[in-house]
Amino acid sequence: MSPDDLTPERLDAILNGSEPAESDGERDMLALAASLREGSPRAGDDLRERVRAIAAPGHDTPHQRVPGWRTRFLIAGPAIATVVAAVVVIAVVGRDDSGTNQTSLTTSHAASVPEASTTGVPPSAARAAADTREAAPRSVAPQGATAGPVIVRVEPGTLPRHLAEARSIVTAAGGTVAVTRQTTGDPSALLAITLPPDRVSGVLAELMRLGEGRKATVSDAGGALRVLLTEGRSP
Amino acid sequence: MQGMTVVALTVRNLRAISARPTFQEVAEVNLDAVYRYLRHLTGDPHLAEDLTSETFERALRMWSRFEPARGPVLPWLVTIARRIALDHFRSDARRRTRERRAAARDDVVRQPPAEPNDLPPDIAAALANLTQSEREIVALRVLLDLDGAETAATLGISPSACSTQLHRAMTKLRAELAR
Repeated sequence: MSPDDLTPERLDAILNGSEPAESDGERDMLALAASLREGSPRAGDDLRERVRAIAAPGHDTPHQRVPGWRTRFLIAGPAIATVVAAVVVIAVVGRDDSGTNQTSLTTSHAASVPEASTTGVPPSAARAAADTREAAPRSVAPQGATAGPVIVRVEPGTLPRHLAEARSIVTAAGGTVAVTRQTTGDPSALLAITLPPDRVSGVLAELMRLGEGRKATVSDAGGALRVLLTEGRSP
Repeated sequence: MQGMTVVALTVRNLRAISARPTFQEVAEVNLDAVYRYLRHLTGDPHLAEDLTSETFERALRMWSRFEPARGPVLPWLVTIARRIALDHFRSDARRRTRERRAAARDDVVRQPPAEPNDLPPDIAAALANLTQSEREIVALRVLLDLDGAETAATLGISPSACSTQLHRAMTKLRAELAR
């Protein structure tokens, strides 16, 4: 058999050692392969040392390696997004907390649509007030609020009680009340109140009766009031 | 019966885990083979040394992903070495294009070995006349003794194409020597 008769499959089998070389041509091929193997270069000492240094324990284990850019992205992406989201939330909440002496922030909404029988508010007006409550941003003074707050001075030490009373008055009228600022040094609480328009004057009168009211009339309430309950001499 | 199967599987798994060599052992045993492959692929001993070093660096980083159950370690190392060499050839070709060198000098792998190796001069000259792919398949199948399937997988070709290319390369080599 000449070398030209050697098929690829037969050469494979001979090189694998699964079949013996039978012809001179096949034996020549095996001899050529052996020559290639024998004369094949070996790594030098320098390279051997370099690779040993690489493979040595402590050089850089897979567990200690610096993560690749994909890993960094996978870890850093969500982390950055979380931090940004947290900053946004803090900024939004912090807008309510701008007072230096503030001790608390509370928002009180009337429970759903008040019953007409208990509040005396017509169902349509109550629904309108509820819609307004849903649409109004939290802790932001309602649109149409009067330029200055209605100031109600109460007896020293009675602010918490009067605050609770004011809340119940407003909610009973189908409105909502948000305490936008509360201070302790000179005890006071600024209330942002939203009411059905036809209930404004009635509620205002009730609130004025909580203490000594300074501003008895509102020029353009539009269903919104700002009331400052205070124990101090001046707001 | 099921319990015995589970125990047998567990023992087998433990053996597989304990049989996993350390990277140091792998580097020591396969260094020559990887260097030999790169030496034949590049034809440049210094470049082959650098690429071999880079291969083991990268292999160490990927070592935790190597699964002995999926095959021997040498084809895995050769695959890494091959990727590194091809990356080098691409970047080198780009550099040469930028520098507007002569087209004949663009093909690094066609250059004869810069330093003599232990091969007889006639065989070295015959090898230098092979193409890159021919030298590569000879290196993988003959020098590194990978089998047909491993070589085909490394090169990304079918086993039959691998056999054909090896046959062509060896026949060409033999013809060169017969001149």
